[in-house]
Amino acid sequence: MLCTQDLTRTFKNMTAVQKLNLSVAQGEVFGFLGPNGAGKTTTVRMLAGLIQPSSGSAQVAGLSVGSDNATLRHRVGVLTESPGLYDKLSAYHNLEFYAKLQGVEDVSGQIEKHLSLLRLWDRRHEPVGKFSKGMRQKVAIARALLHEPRLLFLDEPTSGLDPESARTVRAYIAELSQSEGRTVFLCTHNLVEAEALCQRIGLMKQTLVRVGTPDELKRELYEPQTLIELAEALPDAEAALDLPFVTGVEVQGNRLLVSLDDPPTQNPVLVQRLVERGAGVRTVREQERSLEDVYLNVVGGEDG
Amino acid sequence: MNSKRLLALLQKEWREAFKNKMVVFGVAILPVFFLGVSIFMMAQFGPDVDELGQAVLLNNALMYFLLLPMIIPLAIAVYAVVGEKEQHSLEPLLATPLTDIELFVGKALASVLPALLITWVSFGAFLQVAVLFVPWSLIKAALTAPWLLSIFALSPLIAMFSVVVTMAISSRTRDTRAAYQLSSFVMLPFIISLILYSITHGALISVGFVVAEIGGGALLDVVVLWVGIRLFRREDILTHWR
Repeated sequence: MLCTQDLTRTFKNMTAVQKLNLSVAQGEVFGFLGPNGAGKTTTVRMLAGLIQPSSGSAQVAGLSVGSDNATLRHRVGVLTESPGLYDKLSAYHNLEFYAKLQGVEDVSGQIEKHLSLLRLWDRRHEPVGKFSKGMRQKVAIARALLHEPRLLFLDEPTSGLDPESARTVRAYIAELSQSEGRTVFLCTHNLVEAEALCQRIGLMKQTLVRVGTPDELKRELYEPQTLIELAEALPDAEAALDLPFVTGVEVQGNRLLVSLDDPPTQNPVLVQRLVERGAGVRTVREQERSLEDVYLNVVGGEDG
Repeated sequence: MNSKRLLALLQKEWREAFKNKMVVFGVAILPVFFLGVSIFMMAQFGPDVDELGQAVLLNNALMYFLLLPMIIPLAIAVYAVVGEKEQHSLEPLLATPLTDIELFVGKALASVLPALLITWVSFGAFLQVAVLFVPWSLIKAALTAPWLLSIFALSPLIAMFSVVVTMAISSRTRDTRAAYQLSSFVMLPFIISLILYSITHGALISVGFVVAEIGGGALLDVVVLWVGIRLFRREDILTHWR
C-alpha cells in the first residue's frame, strides 16, 4: 500500500526528512512516532501528495508520488492535526463541500453514512463552530473518509479529546482496519494509543530510527527481566542466583530484578533456587516494558 | 480545470462569506451609498447647468460605479484567504484533488463575480431610480459608449486587479482587519487617481480614453495574475503562509 525509497525533503538549509525507507502493508495500522520536528508531518505531506520530495521516491496507493498528485490525493484520506473545518457552515455543508471536491457520486448518502457512524447525523445542520472539540474531530474524520479511501493518514486523531471521545475515535480507527480492511498511517504522541492500535510502529527522527511491532521493539532494546518480591531481604542474593542463564541481578531490599533470557521457562528455576536458600517468595512477575520506555530510549526525551 | 470542483469551491466561498456579518456589511453598504450619491448627482442636472457642468456631474456619477468593483471585492477576498488561515482549513483543502490553479481561480472568482453583479445591478438600479428625478433625455446622456464600456468592460478588469492584490496581501497576513486595511491602503492610489480624474476632467470621457484604460487594465491584470498564481502554489501555502 505504501513504500518509500530514500525519501528525502529539504527546506533551504534544513533537512526535514532524510532517506526514509519504509513500507506499510494493505490493512495495516502503522504507528508513526517521533518528537516534534522529527519530520512526521513533512513525511505525511509528501506521501499524501501535498508537497514534492527533494529526492528519493515513494509508491502510495498504486501511484508514484509526484507523478499525479491530484489522483493520489483522491486515493488517500488525510486527517490533519487541526480539524480545519469551516466554523460558520453546518457539518453537512462542510462535508458536502469536500465530497464534491473528491468527486463523490452519492454525496448525501455518504454524508449520512459517516455522520451516522460517528453519531452526529442528528446535528448535521448545526454550524460546526458550536461543536465541542470531540465533535469537530469526528466531523474531520468523516471528511477524510467520505470518498472511501483505502489509505488513511491520521495526524493526532485523539489530541485534545476528552477520554470518552478519544475512546470512540480509537474504536472507530480499529474498526476501519479490522472490518473494512483500510490501511491506517497513524501519527501520534500518544504511546498507549499507538500500542493499542498499531500492528507496527516506526520511530522517526529525520529518518526512520526503528521499526517493528511493539513487542519486537521492546525485545530489541531491553533484555527480559523478572521482578521477584521476597518476604524478607535475602543476604547475598547475587550469589544465590548464580545460574548460567542469569545475566544480571539488581537487589533493592526485598525486591530482586533478575535479567535472564526466557522468563516463562526460567522463572520456576529461579524460584526453586530461592526457596532452597530459605527465601520466602511473595510474588514473581515479568518486568513489563512500555512503548514509552522504547520511545525515550530511541528518540530521547527532547521535544523540538 | 475541473468545473465541478470549481463550482463546489465557489458555492462554499459564498456560503461562508455571506454568513459573515463583516463581509455582508462591507458588500452591501457601499452600493447603497454610491447609488444614492449618483442619483443626487444626476438630480443636479437642469437648465441652469451648462455642458461642462453636466460632464463633471456625469463623470462623478460614473466614478462611483467604477469604485464599486474596486472596493466591494476587498471584503470577500480578504476573508477568502485570511479566513482559511484563521480556521486552519487550508491543509485539509490542499489534501483534496483541487489543483493550485483551481484554488486560485475559485477564490478570485468568488470575489470578482459578486462585485460585478452588484456593480451592474447598482448601475441598472441607478438608471431606474434616476428616471424619477431626471428627464429621460438627460439619462440617455449617461448611456453613451464610454459609460457602457467602462461599466461592462473596465469593471471586470478593475475587480480582478483589486481581488488579486487583496489575495496577495492576505496571503502574507494573519489578521482579517490588518489584511483589509493594508489592501485598502494599496488600492488607495488607484481610488484617488480615479477621483482626481473625475474631478479635473472637463469633458465627457471619450471612447478612445476608455479603450486605453481597458488596455492598461488588462496589462496590469496579467502582471498581478502572474504574481497571484505564483503565490497560490501548494508548497508555498503550506510552508510560507503564516
